[in-house]
Amino acid sequence: MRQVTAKPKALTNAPFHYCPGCTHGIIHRLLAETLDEFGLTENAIGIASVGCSVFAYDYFNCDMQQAAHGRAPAVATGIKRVRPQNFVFTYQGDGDLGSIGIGETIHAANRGENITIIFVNNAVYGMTGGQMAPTTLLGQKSSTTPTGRSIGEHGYPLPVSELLQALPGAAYVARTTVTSPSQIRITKRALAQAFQAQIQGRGLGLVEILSTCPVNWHMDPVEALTFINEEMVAQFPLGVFKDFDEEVARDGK
Amino acid sequence: MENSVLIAGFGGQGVLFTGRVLAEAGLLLGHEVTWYPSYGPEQRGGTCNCSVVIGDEPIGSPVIDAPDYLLVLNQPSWARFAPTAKANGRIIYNENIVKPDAGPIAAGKVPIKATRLAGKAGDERVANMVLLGALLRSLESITMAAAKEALRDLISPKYADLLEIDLDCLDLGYAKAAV
Amino acid sequence: MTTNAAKLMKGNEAIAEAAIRAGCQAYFGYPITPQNEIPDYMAKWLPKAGGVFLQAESELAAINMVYGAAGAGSRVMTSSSSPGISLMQEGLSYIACAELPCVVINMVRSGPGLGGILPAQSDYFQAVKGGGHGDYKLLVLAPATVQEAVDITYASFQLAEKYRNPVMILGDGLLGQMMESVTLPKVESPPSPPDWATTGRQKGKPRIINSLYIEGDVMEKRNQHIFAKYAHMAEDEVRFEKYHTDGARLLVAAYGSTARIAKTAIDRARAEGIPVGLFRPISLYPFPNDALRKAAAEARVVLTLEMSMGQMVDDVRLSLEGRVPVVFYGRTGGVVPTPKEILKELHRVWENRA
Repeated sequence: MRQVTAKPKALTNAPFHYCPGCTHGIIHRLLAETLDEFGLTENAIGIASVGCSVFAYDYFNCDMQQAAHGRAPAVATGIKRVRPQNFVFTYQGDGDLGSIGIGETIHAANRGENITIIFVNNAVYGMTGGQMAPTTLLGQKSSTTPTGRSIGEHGYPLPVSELLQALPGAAYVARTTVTSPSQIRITKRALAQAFQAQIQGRGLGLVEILSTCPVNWHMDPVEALTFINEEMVAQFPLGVFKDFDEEVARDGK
Repeated sequence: MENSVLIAGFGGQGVLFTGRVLAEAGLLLGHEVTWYPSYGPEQRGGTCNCSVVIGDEPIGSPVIDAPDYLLVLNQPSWARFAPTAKANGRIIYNENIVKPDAGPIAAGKVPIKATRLAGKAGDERVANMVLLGALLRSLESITMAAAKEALRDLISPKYADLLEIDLDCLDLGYAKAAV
Repeated sequence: MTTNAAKLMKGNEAIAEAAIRAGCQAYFGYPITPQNEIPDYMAKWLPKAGGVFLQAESELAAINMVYGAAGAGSRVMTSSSSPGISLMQEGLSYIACAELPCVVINMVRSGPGLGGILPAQSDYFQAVKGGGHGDYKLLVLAPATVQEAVDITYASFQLAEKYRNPVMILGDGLLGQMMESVTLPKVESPPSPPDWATTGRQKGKPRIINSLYIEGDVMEKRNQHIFAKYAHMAEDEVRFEKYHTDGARLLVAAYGSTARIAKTAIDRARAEGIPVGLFRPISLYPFPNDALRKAAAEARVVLTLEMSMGQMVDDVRLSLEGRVPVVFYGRTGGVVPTPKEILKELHRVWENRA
């Protein structure tokens, strides 16, 4: 018998607490595989944020810090500035990054901090029970938008990747999802390029990953995947918004 | 010995710098010194003052309620501070700018034509140094030599060409002041 | 800044230089008056000493940068003034729970609200009672002179590391803006990062910097653990100054700038025959309870002086447990009491003593 796959070394043996059908688990695995493949598991310092991934420090087999709500990019900045020799990443949700921590996110990107942000966008506050997130879709129901998000009352879904694209300090920005094997492979490649941005000292790398929340969306797992492919992608188009390599090819700098 | 000196005028007249020279000279002479600038809303409004205390023992209050010596560089500062000077203290003021009010002032008044003397020396802007020189005539804890050394140490390269005029002004003020 | 001869320095600049000499490796801060000379000085000199200076986008970000750098084993500090320190309270609570060492300078200005930029002591409660959410304390030290600010700043990094707890240096605009002669300490090298710091685990087990303890009994143990440290602090870190307290029948309790102004008034009062002395807490947390009780042993009355509406006076009363009447006099809003004004109050209190 031949072993064809194994748990990444960058994951501990702690069982995930994520709900059935949630794609945090897939994203954790992709990040862990990437850490291993870059040989960074023993060097990395990760930052867990506040939200469903708050226990990420139990799952990643590297040094970890747990940050206050929204402050992960500031914590990452503090670490990276004093230890530039370490690989530093944050793992944040949409409430953490896009709402309470949008200031830290924009300024970390604008300073061109050499850090890598894994941004999991599931359009809802999962941990606190399904409240409206900055990325909640128009018309989408949540516990604080019981009749659906409306432009007049709540404004528009926040396009984080499009915002960061505008900042010169952001070296790599991509939006992906993990709803199919091919999308999972695309996400893995995006993570690798975001890692490269930090390794090469190009500036901030961010991968926004559209992710499911079947429990708070009140869907079964398959419906949740379909919701991403049909509804979320329409609001949040997938793609690479910025790539330092392409800029090098285009501008020769 | 403990001497308190309050210097008051407009921002730009060298109020804080005059205090620095005095404090630095005190340090050179081995005294205890404190220097405390006004930095509050008045700084934004253009008026400015600083408190210098020179003593043999560690200084308690850097805040002066009744100065032994008061240097007045503008009219509003006369109204505000002249009545607070100690009865046996001295008010040294630029009489080219400041007209003493008729009110009851207990302290001795030392009028100095500081702007005119500074202009004669080469630059009207350094009237503050004339007043400092006048102060040194009666402030026994600080020597002229120490003040000049402090001035040389502190003057910024930007104003280096004013150093000789500054030094002359110290002497002019000293010569003109009544003991 | 290489010679050790006495020199005149502004309080803020002297604190910054002392921090560099103490081996501070990183400074994160945000501009606010009246402490701007600290970040200005750090921006100029800390990188030359091999350290990191970064102006954060807010005090929220600054204190969380401190969290990250401290968690990565760096000697780190921030500085701010009252409204900015309020914004840092969340971070300080996390730092205290995660047991990270750091130094925080608070050059207090008047409040509440945006308040003013003039000196005040109205953040005493915030400093000594925890300040943010949850049960925790900062080690709070309040210098009264520029030299003491230097000495305390220099010592504070090692204290923070000894207890793995934030140290707050509580000054005010007066201390920050005034110049006084200082002798600077020698340059110290920072230690290697401790074992618990996140520096990349290499072949070891992952290190986790965390303040999340979701199980009630585990969180309770964490609280008991950090409070055991505070009990040690109360044994070993109490600092105070006594000035003419032997035989004092009127005892003044004051800290920081107010205490030094009070000294001038006390000298004048003693010259007039009033048997008055000064007890000056230097460590505001842990508060010098026992020493204050002893200093007040012969007092008929204790007068607490503050630049606030009355905050430390509560701790003075708790210390004295009703043994001696405690009265209060304060100026606030940025108004600094003069020696003359305090002398008048000393007369009033002495003449009205029971």
